[in-house]
This record gives sequence, structure tokens and C-alpha cells, in this order.
Amino acid sequence: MLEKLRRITRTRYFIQFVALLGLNANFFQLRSICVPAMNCHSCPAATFACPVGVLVNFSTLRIFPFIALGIIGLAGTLFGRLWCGFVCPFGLLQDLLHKIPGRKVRLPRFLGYTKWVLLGGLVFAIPFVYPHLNVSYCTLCPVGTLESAIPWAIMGASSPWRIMFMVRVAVLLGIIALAAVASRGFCRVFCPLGAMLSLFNRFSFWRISQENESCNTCGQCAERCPVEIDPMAEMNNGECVRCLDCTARCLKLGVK
Amino acid sequence: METTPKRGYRWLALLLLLLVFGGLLTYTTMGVTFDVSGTSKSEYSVLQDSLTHSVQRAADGKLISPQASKTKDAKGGKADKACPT
Repeated sequence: MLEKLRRITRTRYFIQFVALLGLNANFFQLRSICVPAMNCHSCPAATFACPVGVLVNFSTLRIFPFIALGIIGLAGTLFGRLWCGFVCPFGLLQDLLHKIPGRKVRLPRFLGYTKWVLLGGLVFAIPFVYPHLNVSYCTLCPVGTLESAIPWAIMGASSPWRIMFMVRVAVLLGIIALAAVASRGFCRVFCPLGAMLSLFNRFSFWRISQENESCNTCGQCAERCPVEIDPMAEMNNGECVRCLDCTARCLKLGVK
Repeated sequence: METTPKRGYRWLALLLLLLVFGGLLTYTTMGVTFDVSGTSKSEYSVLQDSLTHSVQRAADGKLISPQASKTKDAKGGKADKACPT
């Protein structure tokens, strides 16, 4: 069991690191398409466009985002939130931050609704209704701050001595602190892309399934779950990021 | 235990979703164009331009390119520079 867990964890980290490099291999310049992972396209090294950023831009322009919705929908239909667990670079950062020893907390489940409010309000409604306000998810996005605002400020393209920049850094520090104490805190509470992909978890082609019915309710899978769900009771729940840790803990869960 | 949709309905839903989202991508690849400052541009092109604010919506509702237009409320947008957020 322990060997299987190590193998899955190693494989996941390897794929996450490869994805981090692939999503930030500037020389490819494929920014007319997006990949279903939080990786800011304003990052100097970004390869693809961020789907959330594209949705915000298209809401501002008031045109229908065929490409972004098509890619998110196809990705979700095929793999659900596997993208969150295996591809998203910000997910990797959170996984590493959570390894820092210290006090850990469980997040109340109702906080998960926040990401829906952010999706509806800051990704769609406010940019659509008030396009000239320059208030959107992107203006506070911690991924954008880390990958874009800070690097551009270091390179001298923008000034760090602006109120908005400081607010952004404060939000980023808050998210980093959250990730250190609550596993995948950003994914569960603040990620609008995670909210959209979660719609597909129950249906998607690739999903976790139980191979037999002989669960002895040992609770090992729930104890290990980074998003604090009970995999046996809520298999393929929308919050599941499909890290597969539960499948390593319990031989009765199988991937199908 | 899990409350998943019945097997037949799940496959039907999957097929429908694939058709819908695959259709969106096919449709935009085949023929969706936008008029930007008098030039017809594909959605892929508009998407790329939007990342650098090289396409904006004017007060009259039309899409404009700040470089091509002298509209007074349009600003920013250099196609070769990423947005410094």
C-alpha cells in the first residue's frame, strides 16, 4: 500500500512539474488557445492563455467565448478535475506549501460556494456590466500576481509602489498562508476554474470507481483526502481533484 | 454510497456534452469572425489580441483595435507586449 502511494505521489509530482515547464515554455507561444489550468497568460514565460482570463476578457468585450468554454467543457467531460490534481501549477505550489510542518485546519464546507460567487460575479457579471471599471477576477488573482505582476515589477515594466499591486501581494500572501494550513485551500474556496470543472466530475469519462463492495469503513481514504471529502461516500464529488491518494490507501478503490 | 447517474444516461450525457463542446470549437474554427476596426478576425486572433488589450469595445458597441483607431477613449495595447497586469 505504502509503495503504491509513493508511486502515485511521485508520478503526480512528475506530471505536475512537466506541466509547469510545458505551460511556461515561452518559445512555443500558443496563446490563442487555453489550457484548463490556472497559469496566467501575462506571465512573461506563459505558453497558453489562461481560460479564466479569457472568460474575463470576453465578458469585457461582450462576445461569446466559444474557444474557452469549448476547451473547458471538453477537458471537463473527458477528465473532470484531474487537471487540478495533475496539471495545474498552482495546485503543485499548494501541495508543496502544505508539506510545511505546522498546525493544519479543516475548512468548513460552505466556503466552497465562494468560488461560485467569484465565478459569477468577478469572471462574468461585473466585467460584462461594467467593462470600464477594470474590476475582475484577474485584478486580484493570486496566480496572476505570482506569475505576472511580480515578475513584471521586478523587470521594471510596472511599478510595485501602487496600492493595487500591494493589495494583490497581500491577497497572494493570504492564499499562500491558507495553502500552508489548509490543503488545497485556494482550489476549494477561490478557484473559478475548479468550480467550472467540478460540474463534470460526476459524469466524466475518466473517474474513480469502486471495484467491489467490500468496504470495511476503515476511513483511511477520507483521512488522506487533500480536499477533505469521504471518497467512499462521495466518490467523484465536485470537490475531488483526483489526486488518487485515496486509491493508494485503499485497494478496493479502482480507477476506471 | 455514491449517487451516480444510471449507466445508460451517463453515456448519453457524455456524448451530448462532447457534441456540444466539440461543436463549439468546431464552429468557431470553421467560421466565427468578428469585425475589429473594419477587419474580419477569427476568434483565435481576437483571443490573442485580447490578452494584450489590443482589442477593445468602443462606446458604440463595436470592437476596435486601439492601434488602428483614434477613438479618444481607447487606450493601451501593444500587440507585441504582454499585459504587465
